[in-house]
Amino acid sequence: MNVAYTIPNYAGAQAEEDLLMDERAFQVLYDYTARPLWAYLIRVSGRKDVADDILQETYCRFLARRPQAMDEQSTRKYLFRIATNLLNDRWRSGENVEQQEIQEYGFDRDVDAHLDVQRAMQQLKPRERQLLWLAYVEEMNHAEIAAITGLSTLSIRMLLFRARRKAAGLLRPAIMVKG
Amino acid sequence: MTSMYCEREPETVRATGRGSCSPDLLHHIEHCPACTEARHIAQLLLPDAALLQSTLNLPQATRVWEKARSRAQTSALERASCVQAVLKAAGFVYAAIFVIWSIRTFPILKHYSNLPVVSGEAASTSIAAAVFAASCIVSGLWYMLRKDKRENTLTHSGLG
Repeated sequence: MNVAYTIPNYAGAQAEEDLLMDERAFQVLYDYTARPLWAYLIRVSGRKDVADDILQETYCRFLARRPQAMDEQSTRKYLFRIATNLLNDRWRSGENVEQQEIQEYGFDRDVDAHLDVQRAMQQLKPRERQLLWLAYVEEMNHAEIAAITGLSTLSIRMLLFRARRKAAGLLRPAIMVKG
Repeated sequence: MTSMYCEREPETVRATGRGSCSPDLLHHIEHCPACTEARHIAQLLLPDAALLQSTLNLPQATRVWEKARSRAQTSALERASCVQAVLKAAGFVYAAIFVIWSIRTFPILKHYSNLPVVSGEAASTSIAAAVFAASCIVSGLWYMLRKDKRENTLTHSGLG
């Protein structure tokens, strides 16, 4: 055995230790958390490629620095926090925030309402989309949203109110149909 | 104009998600513009989220796992290589110090067989120990340098 073999072997063993989770446990966690997280990323970023990238990066970072003893809810919130930070980093670095029309397949009901939601979300600012999704889909309270976005609870209250007003205006036709 | 926030808004959103509202909450929603608006938005966003989750193709867990594993491995390798680089640098520093020290010490020992501080026997033992340590370090350095040279040759020849 020499250094050339020892170091990669050491790195391999170290990598396994660094991940703090085996593949089976990861599969369970992924099945439980990935879909809601991915839906959030798609609606907030408006792009499937970006959502795919950020989803993978989120789990890579989570596996690399997963804090010990987290229950399911905390894990889920922690994942949303990582994903939100990654989205914010992209926007801060000046990446194009233009939304793309996402093709969904295999549904035959509520198509109009679904498209209305997609169009309304496209007209909102990224931060507004984040807040609306976390509050009304993920059912998080202001303190939880504040922890995920890094804003204060008071700011969340104000921003969410504005986002809700704007969204209600944009979604009025869909609300009328639904109502 | 709706009010900015209602304390029962989270409860309204949760009830909308469950699809069942208590009569008390329903009565409240009817009279609270903020909760009415929150309920309308949740009623549109929740089916949209469910539809997205059920129809689009999610990246496979094994792909994400492999990516995370390979990244952790690269990072562990970088850390391990960093230790090796520190050892190599320390070896060079020791070799340089040893050469300077021996150049200064050996001529003195030739002229003065009895040093004022260290006895002749102790001096020869410490010199022997220093030479032994130097030979160990030099052989280690030689091994690492040889390995680096071989890796460079393989890389340049396109075999690596």
